[in-house]
Amino acid sequence: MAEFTIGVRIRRRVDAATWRLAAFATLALAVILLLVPTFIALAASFNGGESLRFPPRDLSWRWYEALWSASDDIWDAFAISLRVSALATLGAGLMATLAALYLSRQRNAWARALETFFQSPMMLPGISLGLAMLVWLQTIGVPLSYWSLVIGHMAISTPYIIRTALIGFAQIDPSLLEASRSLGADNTRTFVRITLPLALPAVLAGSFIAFMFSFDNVPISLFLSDARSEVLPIRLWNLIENLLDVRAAAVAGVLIIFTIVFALVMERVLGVSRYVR
Amino acid sequence: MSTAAMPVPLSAMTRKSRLDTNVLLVLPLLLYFLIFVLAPQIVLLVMSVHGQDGALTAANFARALSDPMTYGVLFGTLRLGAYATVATIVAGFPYALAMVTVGPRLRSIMLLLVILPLLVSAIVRTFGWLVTLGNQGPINTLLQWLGWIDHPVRILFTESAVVIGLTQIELPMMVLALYTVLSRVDGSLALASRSLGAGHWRTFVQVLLPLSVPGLIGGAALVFASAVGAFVSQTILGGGGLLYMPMYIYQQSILSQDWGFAAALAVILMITVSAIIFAGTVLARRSQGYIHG
Repeated sequence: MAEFTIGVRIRRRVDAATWRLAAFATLALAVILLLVPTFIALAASFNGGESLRFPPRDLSWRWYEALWSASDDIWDAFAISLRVSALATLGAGLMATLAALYLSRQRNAWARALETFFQSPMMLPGISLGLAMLVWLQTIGVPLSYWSLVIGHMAISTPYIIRTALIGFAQIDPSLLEASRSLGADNTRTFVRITLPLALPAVLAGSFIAFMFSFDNVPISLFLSDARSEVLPIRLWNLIENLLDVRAAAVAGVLIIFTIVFALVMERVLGVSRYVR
Repeated sequence: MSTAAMPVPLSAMTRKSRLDTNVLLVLPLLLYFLIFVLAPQIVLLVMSVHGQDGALTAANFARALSDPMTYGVLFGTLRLGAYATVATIVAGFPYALAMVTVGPRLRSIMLLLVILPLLVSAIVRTFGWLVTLGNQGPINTLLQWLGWIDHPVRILFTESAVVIGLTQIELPMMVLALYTVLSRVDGSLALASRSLGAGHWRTFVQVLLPLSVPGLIGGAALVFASAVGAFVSQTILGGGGLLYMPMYIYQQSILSQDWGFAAALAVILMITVSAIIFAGTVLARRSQGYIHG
């Protein structure tokens, strides 16, 4: 009897110990995995030498100086990226918010199918989406320009905004809308004064995420841009492929700082993490 | 008072007009999607079965499907997706589970730790791996310093490098999908399982894992689809020696101007990926039904 209990006790100890060990080991691995490339990319940008190494041999700002003073190509690409992503997010944001308002009021199969349709650009390989759009634009005779980029980026921005907007609308207490209507406000007024302000943080959080992904997109931009409108990720990709151009490290460094600051501000203002599902 | 004052026909009228305006709400996005998402897919499909003389032909598919290279590239790409999916599940599950168990303060830090890398440009993170895995990177430096190796080992430009990079890039997606599902699981279930004598491992396998199947399916579909199409990471970390479907399609369309063949390849990729995701979803749903009796 006593031996049996000791056996059980040992087995329990082993069970708990191996469980904790495995949990901590994988957890540590995940945390390292999540942080490593960003940290290393940032550290490599302060490298004084001509090649990319870690740990950096001698610290220097030289690549940042080169980025600041002798990189019109990068700044042009940055400006185009900023404009394309801002316009695409604005367009997709307006259309997706209205569509989400409709979808949030409907519970039938048609609405669910539409929702899946609007989410589809997220599941399609970017390369097929880009190729298909290029072929189609040529078929209907739309020349490639800055605007074809905006049209393409709107498709990939939509899923993120639809998603968070639906969460935002679903969280509104219906009795507030009833109260507004029973107090004499019409639908438009109720929407502008009650629904929209309550759902706005969710819509803006989705728009922020959509903007970041649009800003980073390569496959769509690769197919839909003309020679004059090179976006930043493609410029950066070219810099990285050409391994000797260490300005890539400085661009990466700037983007990392920009992203972290922007994300922390957005988290503070909108609580973005509440809507990431 | 206002309810009494409101005539019945008016409310009926507003309800009717509300229905009409509702459809108008969805119309802009629907039109945009029909014109710029659905129509292109149809045209791509048409182009893939379009001969140079304009007639209907299966030549593009015949060429793609009779070429061993297509299978090699396609299989390599799907394997990449499979590895990345499994790796994100292995690394992401404990993370998601820990997020549910820790206190709210630590949870929000862990959530931020997942979202921040998600927002940092995938190209920048790929660039980080380029440095990390390179001959002069921290891994080789550390191994040489420890005296385990004399010369830098080549990690970059191998399949492992692409898988490592993709795992990192897709990990947040998997964690968020699993976290959503696990946070809805009643915590008392695991407690009950343990108080009834099941250990941590058994509780995990028999209670938590089956309950998280919906999150696993959703996360796996997202990770798989996006890893298979991850153009930049595949190209940069795989180098010139490894060819995957997205680059193959890009080469055939833009560089070789062979549009019909590129379209056929894109259709083959889309069909295979959707079929695998669909099959995975059905299988997982079935096994879940089986588990719950």
